[in-house]
Amino acid sequence: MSEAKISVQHASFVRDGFTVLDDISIEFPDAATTLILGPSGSGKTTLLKIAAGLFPPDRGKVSYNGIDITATSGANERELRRKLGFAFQDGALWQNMTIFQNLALPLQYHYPRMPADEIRSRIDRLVGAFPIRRHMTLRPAALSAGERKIVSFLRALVLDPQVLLFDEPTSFVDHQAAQRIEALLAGYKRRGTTLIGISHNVELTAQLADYLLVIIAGGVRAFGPLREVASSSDREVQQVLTEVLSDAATFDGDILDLLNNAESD
Amino acid sequence: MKFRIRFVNQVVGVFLIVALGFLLAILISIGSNQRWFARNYRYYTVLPSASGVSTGMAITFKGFQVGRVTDVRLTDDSEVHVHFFLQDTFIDRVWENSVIQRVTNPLGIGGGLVFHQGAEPSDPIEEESLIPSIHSPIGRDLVRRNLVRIPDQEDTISQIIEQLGPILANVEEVSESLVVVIEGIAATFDGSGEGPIQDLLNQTNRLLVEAESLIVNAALISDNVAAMTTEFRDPTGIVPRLIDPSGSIATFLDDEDALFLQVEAILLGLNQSIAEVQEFAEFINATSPQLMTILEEGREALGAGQDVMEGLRNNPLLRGGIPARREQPTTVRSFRDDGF
Amino acid sequence: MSTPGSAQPRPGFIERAGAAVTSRVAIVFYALGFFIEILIETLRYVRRRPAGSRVLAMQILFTGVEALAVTAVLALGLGAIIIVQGTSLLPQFGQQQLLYVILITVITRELGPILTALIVASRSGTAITTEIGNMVINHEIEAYIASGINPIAYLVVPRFLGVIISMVVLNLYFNIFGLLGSWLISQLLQPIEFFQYFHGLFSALSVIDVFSSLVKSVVFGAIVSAVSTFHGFRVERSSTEVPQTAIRSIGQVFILLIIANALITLVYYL
Repeated sequence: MSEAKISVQHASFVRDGFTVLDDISIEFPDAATTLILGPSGSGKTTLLKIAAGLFPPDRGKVSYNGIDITATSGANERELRRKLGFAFQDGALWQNMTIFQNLALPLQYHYPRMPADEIRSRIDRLVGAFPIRRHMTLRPAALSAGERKIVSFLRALVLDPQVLLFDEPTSFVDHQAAQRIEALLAGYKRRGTTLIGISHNVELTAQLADYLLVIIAGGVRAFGPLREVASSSDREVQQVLTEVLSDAATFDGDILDLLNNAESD
Repeated sequence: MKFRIRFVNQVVGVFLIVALGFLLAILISIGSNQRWFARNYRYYTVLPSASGVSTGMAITFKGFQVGRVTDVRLTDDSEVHVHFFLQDTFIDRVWENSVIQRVTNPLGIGGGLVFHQGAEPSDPIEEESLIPSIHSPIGRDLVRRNLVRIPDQEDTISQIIEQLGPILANVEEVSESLVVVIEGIAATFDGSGEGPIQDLLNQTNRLLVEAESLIVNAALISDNVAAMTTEFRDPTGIVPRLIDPSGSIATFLDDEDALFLQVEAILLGLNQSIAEVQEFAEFINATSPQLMTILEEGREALGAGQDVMEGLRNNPLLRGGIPARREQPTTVRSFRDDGF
Repeated sequence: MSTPGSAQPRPGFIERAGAAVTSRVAIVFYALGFFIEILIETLRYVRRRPAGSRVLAMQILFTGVEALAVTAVLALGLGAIIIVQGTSLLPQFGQQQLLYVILITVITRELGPILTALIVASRSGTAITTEIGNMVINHEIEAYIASGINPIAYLVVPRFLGVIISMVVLNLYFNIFGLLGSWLISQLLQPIEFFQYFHGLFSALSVIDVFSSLVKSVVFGAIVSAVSTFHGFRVERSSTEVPQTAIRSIGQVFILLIIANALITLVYYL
C-alpha cells in the first residue's frame, strides 16, 4: 500500500438523528483506484463526499497529505480543491449556466488571468470525442441525464486533479458513453491519478479497481486489494458484491469469476 | 438570448451612471441652494426662554431666510444664549442697532427668529457680538427710540391678530378723546382751561363776583335801612328827625332816586346772572349728544373687538377646540329592532 | 414498547424550553458567523474582482433594472399625491413651505428607503432564497465547493453587493421620480412654478437627509440579501422545503427591515 493521500479518521455523520456513518477510519491509497461498494443507504455517497471535504463529518476529521481538509480556507483551500475533482451522481451542474460555462467556470475562478482562448482550447481538448461538444451553448436542463453526468465528469477533470472522486459515473449512461468514461478513467489511472469512486458497473470495477471498500450500515465491513476482498469469506461481503455488481443479482456464481469475465471482455 | 442579458453590462452601466449623475446633480443643487462654500457670520442673542427656538431654525428678514440658529445654550448665569449665523450675502445689511425678534405663533408652527435692521446705515456689526433681542431692555430701548425698523409681519394668524390692531387703535382714539374731554372738564372745573364752557364759567364767575359785590352793597343798604328803622322806632331819634323836613326819609325820598336806582340795578344784575347760568345749562345739554356719540363709538369698537375674540375662540384650530356636538337620536329604526 | 423500563421518558417542559433556546442561540451565532463571512468575502471580492463580476451585473439587472418600473410608478404616485394634497391643504394654515419638508421626510427619509426595500425584498429576496434553496437540492452548492469555488464568495457576495447597489440606486430613482417626476404629474392637477418648486425643494433638502436615506438603503440591502441567502442555504434536501423557507425568509426580512428602519430613524433624530 502506498502513502495515503486522503485519510478519514474516526468520521461519524448523523443526519436527523439517523447515524449515516459510524466511526469510519480509512486511508485511501495514493495513485491507486479504490471503489466503494455497499447496499443502497449504506452511506457510500456520504463517505465519498466527506472524503472529498464537501461537508465536514460531525466527529472525526479528513486530511489530505496531512492537512485537515475542512479546516483550510482561502488560498490553501483553493490550492487543495484544484487537486481534488468530484463527479456527482446526479450531475449537479449549475443550471443557470451553459455547458461551456459549467466547464469554464472552475478555470476562470482558479486562474483569473487565463486568456479566454486558452480556456476554450483546454475545454475542447477535454471534451474531445464526447457528443456533448455539439451542445456547449445549451443549459443543463436541455440535456439528458446521461449527458449531464458526462458534463459533471468532465467538470471534475477540468482542473486536472491529482485525486478524482466519482459517484456512479456510468449509471443512466448509454453503453458507448460508459465505455468512453471507462477509457477516460483508465487513462487517468495510468497517469497515476488517485481514483476513488462508487460504481455498480462490473466492467468498470474489474478494469479499474485496485482496492475495494465494502461498507454496510455506515461501517467499514471490508477494505483491501480487489482480490482479497472479492475472495472474502464474509457472507455479507459476498452478498453485497454479488448484489451490487450484478444489476439483477440473478446469478449465484463466484464473484471472482464474474470480475475475471468482465476483465476479459 | 434576451437583449438585456446579452448586454447586461451596458444596461447595468446606464442604470448606475444615470443614478450617479442624478445624485451628483442633487448634491450640487443642494450645495448651491444652501451656500456650502459661502462664509457665515456668527452672532448671538439673548432670549428670555429657549421655548420655540431650536437649532437649525431659520433667521428671516422681511420673509427671506438670511441665517440659521446654530446652537441654543443655557449659560451659567441662567441666560438663554442663541447662537446663529448670518449669510455673507446679507452681512451688508447688519447695521448697528439691529435686533432679533422671536415670533411665536398660536399654532406652534411657522414662528421663528426675525431680524430687524437698524434704522441708520452703518458698517456691519462685528462678528461674534451680541445682537440684542427685542424682548431685552436694550432692544426695547432701541425700539422706543425708533432706532430699529420694524416692518409689519404677515401670516394668517398675525393677519387675524392684525385686524385687532385698527380696532384697538380706534378704541384707543376714543378713549383718548374721552380723556381729553374729561381732562377738559377737569381743567374747566379747575379753572385753568379755555374754551366756550370755560368762558361761560368765567363769565358766570365774574357775574357772581359782581353779584357778590352788589349783595355787599345791598347789605350795606339794608344795614342803613335797619339803622333807619331803629331810628324810626326811637321817638326821640329818627321820627322827630323824619318829621323834621330835613330828616332821613326826606333825604331818602329826596335824593333824586339815587338809592332806588341802585337797588334796581342790583336786581337787574341778578336777573342777568340767572339768565346766563340758564344759558350754560342749555349749552351742556346741547353738547351731551356729542358725548353720547363718543361713548357710542367706544362701545361699538369694543363690540367689534369682542367679535374678533369670539371668532378666535370659535376657530377650532386656534383655541378652545371643537365644541361638543350633541348627538341627535336617529328616527329610523333598524329592522333588527322589530320583533318577529 | 409499553414496558415502563424501555419507555423513553418524554423530556420535561424546562428541558424542551432549554433545548429550544439553545438551538435558537446557536442559529443566531451561526447567522452572525455567516454574516461576518459575507463581509470578509466582500472585502476580498472588492480587492480582486474574480469571475463573479458577471453574476454581480446580472444581480443588479434582475434586482435593480427590472424593479425600476414598479419603483418609478410607486414614487410618482406618492410624490404627486403629496404635492396635490399639500398645495391644497397647507396654504390654509399659511404653511406652504412645509410641503417641501413633508416631501423630503416622506420620500427621501422614510418611505423611499423602506418602500424600495420592500419591493426588492418581495421581488429579489424571495427569488434569491428560492434559487439558492434549489441549488442546495440540486447539489449545485456542493459542486461549487468541489470545484474550489467558495459559495459565499461566488454566490452570496455578488448578490449581497448587487442587492445593496440596486437598493441604493433604486432609492435614488425613487427620489428622482418621487421629487422631480411627481412635479410633472402635479402640473396636470395643480401647477406649481418650476423654479419655485425646485428652489423650495433644494432649500429644504439637506445632505444629512440624502446621507441617511442612502445609509438606510445600504443597511436594508444588506439585510435583504444576507437573510435571503442565509435561508436559501438552510434548505436541506427536499424541494418542498423551498417555498416554506422562502416564506419564512421574507417574513423575517420584513421584520428586520422595520426594526432597522426604526433604529436608523431614531439615530437620525437623536
